[in-house]
Amino acid sequence: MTHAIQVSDLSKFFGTVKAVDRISFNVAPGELVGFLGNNGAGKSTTMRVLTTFMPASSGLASVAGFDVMYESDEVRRRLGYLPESVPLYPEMRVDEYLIYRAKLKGVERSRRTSRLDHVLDRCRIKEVRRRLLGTLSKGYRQRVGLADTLLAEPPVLILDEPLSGLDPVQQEETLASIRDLGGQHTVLFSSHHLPDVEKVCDRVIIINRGTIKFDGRLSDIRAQVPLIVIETRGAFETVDRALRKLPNVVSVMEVPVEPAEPGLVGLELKADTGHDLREAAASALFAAGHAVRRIELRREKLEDIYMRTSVRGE
Amino acid sequence: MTTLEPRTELAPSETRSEEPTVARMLGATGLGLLLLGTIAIIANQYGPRFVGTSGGYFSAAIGAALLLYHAHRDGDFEFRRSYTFLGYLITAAFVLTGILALTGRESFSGAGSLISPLLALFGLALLNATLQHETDANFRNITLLVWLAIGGLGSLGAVAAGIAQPAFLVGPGVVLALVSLAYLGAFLASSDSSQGVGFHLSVGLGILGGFAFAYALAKAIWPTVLYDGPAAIHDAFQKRDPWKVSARVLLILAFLGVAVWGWRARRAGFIARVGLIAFGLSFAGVFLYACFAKAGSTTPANYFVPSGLLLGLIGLLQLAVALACVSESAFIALTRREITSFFYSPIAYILLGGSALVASLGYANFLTILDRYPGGVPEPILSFNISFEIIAAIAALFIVPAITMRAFSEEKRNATLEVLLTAPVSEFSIVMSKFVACWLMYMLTFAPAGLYLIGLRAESTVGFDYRPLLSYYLAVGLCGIAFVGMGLFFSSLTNNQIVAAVLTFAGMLFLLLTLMIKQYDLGRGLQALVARLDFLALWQQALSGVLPIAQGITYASLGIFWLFLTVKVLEARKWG
Repeated sequence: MTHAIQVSDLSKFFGTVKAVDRISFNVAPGELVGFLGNNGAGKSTTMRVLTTFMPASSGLASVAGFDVMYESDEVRRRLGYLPESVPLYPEMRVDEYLIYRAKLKGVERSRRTSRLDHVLDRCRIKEVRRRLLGTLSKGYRQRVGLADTLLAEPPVLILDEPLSGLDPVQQEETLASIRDLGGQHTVLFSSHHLPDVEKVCDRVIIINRGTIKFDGRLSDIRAQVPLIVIETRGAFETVDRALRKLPNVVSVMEVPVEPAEPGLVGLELKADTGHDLREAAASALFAAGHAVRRIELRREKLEDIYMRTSVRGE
Repeated sequence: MTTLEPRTELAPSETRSEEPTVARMLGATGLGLLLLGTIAIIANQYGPRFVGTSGGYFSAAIGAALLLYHAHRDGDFEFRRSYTFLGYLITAAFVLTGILALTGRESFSGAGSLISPLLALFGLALLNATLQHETDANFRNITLLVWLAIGGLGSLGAVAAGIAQPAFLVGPGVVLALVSLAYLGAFLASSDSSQGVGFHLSVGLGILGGFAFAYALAKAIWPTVLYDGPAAIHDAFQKRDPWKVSARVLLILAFLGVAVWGWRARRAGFIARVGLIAFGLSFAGVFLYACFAKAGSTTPANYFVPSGLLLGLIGLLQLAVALACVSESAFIALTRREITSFFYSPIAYILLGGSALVASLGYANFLTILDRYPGGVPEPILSFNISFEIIAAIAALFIVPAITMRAFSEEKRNATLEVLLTAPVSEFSIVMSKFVACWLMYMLTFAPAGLYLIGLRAESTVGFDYRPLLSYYLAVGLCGIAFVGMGLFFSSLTNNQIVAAVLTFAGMLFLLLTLMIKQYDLGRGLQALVARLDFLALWQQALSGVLPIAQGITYASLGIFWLFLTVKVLEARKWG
């Protein structure tokens, strides 16, 4: 099976500034991938290389099996691209612009009207189809841009910040559209708004200062490393001894309690994957005579990963 | 979350720049001036008045322009409807005066015959301005139907009459054809021409245009070729001249190539392919037949200039409009967008109005010169018209930068270039589409100077030699390739339109100043080169009926060089 998007050892320099530094990742056909990172992390640059707008300084990138540098025409035929600011010609009307774009993309006459109706419907811009693009609000501009990317039914969609500038309702609508697109299209989309990304896509790539810091599935994160946070009364040593007797315990660590209280000790307990030790730990502590104030399972959220990788740069 | 109702947007977030208060004041002034002018023109028919006829025309023209501006800016219900009805009224007046002029009524021959096309253009512009604000489908459809009827009947009539009576084309016929094409073009631009009625109509127009073009070419060439027969490829000693034979073979191969192109163009429509194949095969056949036998006993009459040329040009124009509507080609879609974007911005109107104004000054000057020779001016009289020479050259200094400055700069600044370049179109076709659009716009700004001559022809009873106009426009077009190419190149370098305009202006100024530079001693090679670049001299020579081919080719190849550089500038972003 060929990858829909394949990037290996891709670097891009602007003069001496390293925008993207030897990144590699693959996206399978039909996959929905969130592309995250701070401003200036290299997201848009990577996307521009993939859309053939810019050449890479080194490394390889291919879309739908075609090299972005040497088979750029084939790549552009199979690609729908929504740039960050959604540039549009202000003097054209919505349907006029979409017909023009359909002609550029070689959508045949027999299919054009039905495709136009389909994308107008899907992006919910039917009611503005006769409006001038220059008079549209940001939300409508985004959706016209999205409609443009879908016109030729490209197998691969690259959406740069499709949610920026939208109000919360529009964000939900656009997210729903993007979720619907997964499966039929390969979608790579970038965003700053983490809860939304968490909602629609399973796989996330986080990029910081031009290098990939995280590439994985959110479902894997949820499945792995159950971390139990415990606050209990007693000394750490005795509590530690009591807990270590339990099966499947990997490690016990003391953590500060906030706000600090004399006699209260905080612990983090790591168990083997797939074991929830909350009840066992509670009964063990109770049996050893420790009063338990709090015991809960903590999973690493996308936000924690993002903070860890992008802010602290781990 | 998918169940969320789509909400209709209440207000555009980009607020209206201004209420049309100023436009309303200007509109009222315009109405007054138009009425004043019309009354003055009519009153002057019955004796001299305080405001003369020319004053009346001037006032009416200014008034009409102001009214158009208001109609364009103000979509208010009352104004929109009033202007729509005024537009219908003017269209009716145009049809009436047109019929009177074509059937040869006395008061509508001569200068009076010009009223009809002027009314036609004013009515079209007025209805076009109101159509963009119109929300009622009925009014839209009535307007579109009126345009369709006038445009369709007029185009058919012009071609039919042009074939039946070639002399009709010179004068009223060409005006009829252009006006109807404008109406038909307006109809096609305002309705969907990619399917339904608009599509079939465009195909019909294309067939009509293609037929007119092929007919004109065939009638101009076939009789002569067939009459000459094999003699045309023989030398003075009745022997086959190898050079003439090889030229004939190349010609036949070229026409066969057209037929093969039609055969292989699978994406083109069936009719277009059959047309191309028939055109190529018939012309190749005639040329082949003429190599071995001759036909016709009398010397064929001269047809090509002017009737054949006019009919061919009208056919080509119709074909071009039809192609712009039905073609699936990305290049034509790009070109169409470029051309229409000129007319969405005020630039096209300012340029055309400005060049009409400048040409009118030159024309007035031309008339006073003509008056100075009581016995008639020695031919070619056109070389006395400075609106074709120095005035046109100075105007070109400003026109070319104004046309080309936005081509790439605006797309770069708005980042639409990124959207364009990530679509499956090549850099070459993007550059060529912008070039074709800008070049056509450039040629259009030279049209008013020529159009005044129709007035001269209508006013005076004696004809004049108009043929130098052909070589003049050819020379202007060839120079235009270089001018526009240079402008596009500078525009592709920067995202600042002003910078592009200033650089282009400097380049144009240098080209104009070659008329002085060439007089210095620069060394033989350089001096010859600079002399070749003196386009004013080229235009002056062309006006006297001589076309210096070498200079024209220099300019054309200079243009191709600039365009090549422009393509490379766009591609350079990929060189990394």
